[in-house]
Amino acid sequence: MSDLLDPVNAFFKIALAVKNDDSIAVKENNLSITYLEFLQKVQQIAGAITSHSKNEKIALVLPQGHKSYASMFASLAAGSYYCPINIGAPDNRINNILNEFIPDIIIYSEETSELIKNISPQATLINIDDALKKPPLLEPCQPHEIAYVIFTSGSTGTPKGVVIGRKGLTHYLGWSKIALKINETSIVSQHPNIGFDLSVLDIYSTLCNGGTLIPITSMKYRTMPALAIKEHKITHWISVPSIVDLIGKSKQLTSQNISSLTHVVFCGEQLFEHQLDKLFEASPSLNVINTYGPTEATVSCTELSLNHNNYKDYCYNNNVSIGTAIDGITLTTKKEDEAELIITGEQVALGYWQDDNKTTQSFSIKANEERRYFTGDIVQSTRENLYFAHRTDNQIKINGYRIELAEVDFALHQLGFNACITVFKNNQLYCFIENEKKLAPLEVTKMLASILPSYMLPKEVIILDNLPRNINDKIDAKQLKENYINE
Amino acid sequence: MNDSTVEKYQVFLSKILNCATNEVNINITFKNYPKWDSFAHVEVMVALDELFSIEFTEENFVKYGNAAEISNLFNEQ
Repeated sequence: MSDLLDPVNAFFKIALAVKNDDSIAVKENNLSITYLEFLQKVQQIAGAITSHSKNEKIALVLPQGHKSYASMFASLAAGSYYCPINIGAPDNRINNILNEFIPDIIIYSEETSELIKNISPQATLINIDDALKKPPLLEPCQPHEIAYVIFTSGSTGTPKGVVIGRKGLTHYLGWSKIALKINETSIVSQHPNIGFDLSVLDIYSTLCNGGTLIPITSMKYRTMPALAIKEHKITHWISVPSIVDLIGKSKQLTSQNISSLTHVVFCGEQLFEHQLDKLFEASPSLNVINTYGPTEATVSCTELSLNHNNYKDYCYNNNVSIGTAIDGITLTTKKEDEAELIITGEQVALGYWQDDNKTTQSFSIKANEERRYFTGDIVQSTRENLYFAHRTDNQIKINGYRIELAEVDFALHQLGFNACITVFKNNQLYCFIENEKKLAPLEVTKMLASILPSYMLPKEVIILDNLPRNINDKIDAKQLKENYINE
Repeated sequence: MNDSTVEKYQVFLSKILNCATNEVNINITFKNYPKWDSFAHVEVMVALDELFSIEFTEENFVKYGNAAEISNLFNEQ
């Protein structure tokens, strides 16, 4: 993989090439930040980072927007690596992640200063606005082996950190450069929260290739993404597929609203045929790229190019195929028809953060061999196409958010409920609790909301005098699903 | 606002936000209530369109992002 594709090299090259004109890197509310201005911010933040002797691990506690994007590039340019934090998560979860990551430096803003009040004293705190006054670091430092650590739902109740290598990120950007065809005329959405790894695709692919990035942050644009597309003339939309349903429900999936779109990239959850029907009906000339990949393989590692003429060939039982492996990645299964998918290649993560046991369970990492990741995703091969079938464990996805049911159970245990179980049915979570504490369901939900992010909250908390048990004396989830949750 | 109005908007929002009716009060908004996310808000607007013919305009999406405005609709019914 060419060093020119390294995100720092690629960005510096683009920014210096366009520095004499007014090409816009990020357009945020009424603010347009040119590539030259963005480069200066990256260099100043990198200068602030390198002015501290201990600067390997950087936590970014910043809102979605140009300052957080600049801090990502700055961390890499400083020879460090970063952990992006979802600032919308409950304080308790943010603290858990920071306590696991133990950053050397925390970059924060006025808006997030409250969130870091009780953080370990050994971290140096840098206010982003102060960093933007520091002398710039003009020459990037030697890259660190790690690019970023992103935390996802963990079955032990603590989010687990996935460690992505700089070479893995570079490999991924090599793919996106060719597949997404982003250039100086491209206007790209930045929809996912920075704590969700899909954001890596839009942020780096845009800013390393001269496009303009539009953070989708306001209530108006979050609820009506089609208006963001129309008003900003967005050419590339990148998100989870359920956004199509959201736009459809608000009756805004019209040719007029999405006429500027040339490419739509989906990742993070299953794509369905009905979503493509709606999209291509509104815009028959669209190029849709469906991708699949766990966080452990650097965002995504398959691709399938779909257009109005070919997409039906890749639909089966309302599901859309996940496509084939991108260059440099090998996908294998242990059996022919339906089996667990194993991913091999440079993009496979370096392991889980500070957790050798979990790393050994899910990865094969041997000297002189390519890293392998056992996904836990069962795929099915039908008519020569791969389709996601189901998980081998209790990990589920809601609106693209990865959730371990065990993490919700763990939260219930933390709240003092000994006999409880979380189940997934009709695309919703339900918590069953044995009536020990004489609390109302509402009170339990409120308690859960103080430790879990909103997407992990159950649709319903159901309190029973006794939870049914199976022959092994385990709580019988199957019976609960059948008897207490309607289809 | 009479009790019947209170009950109506509470039932309306609790069904969409997947929560108990007594969890809904006049102060909850799109910004401060965790379950009232962008997906839920679109559901709110779809339901308001059906019940009160509230159009899907940008102004209305912002205006009805709080329980107080929604309760006014039921009050005027």
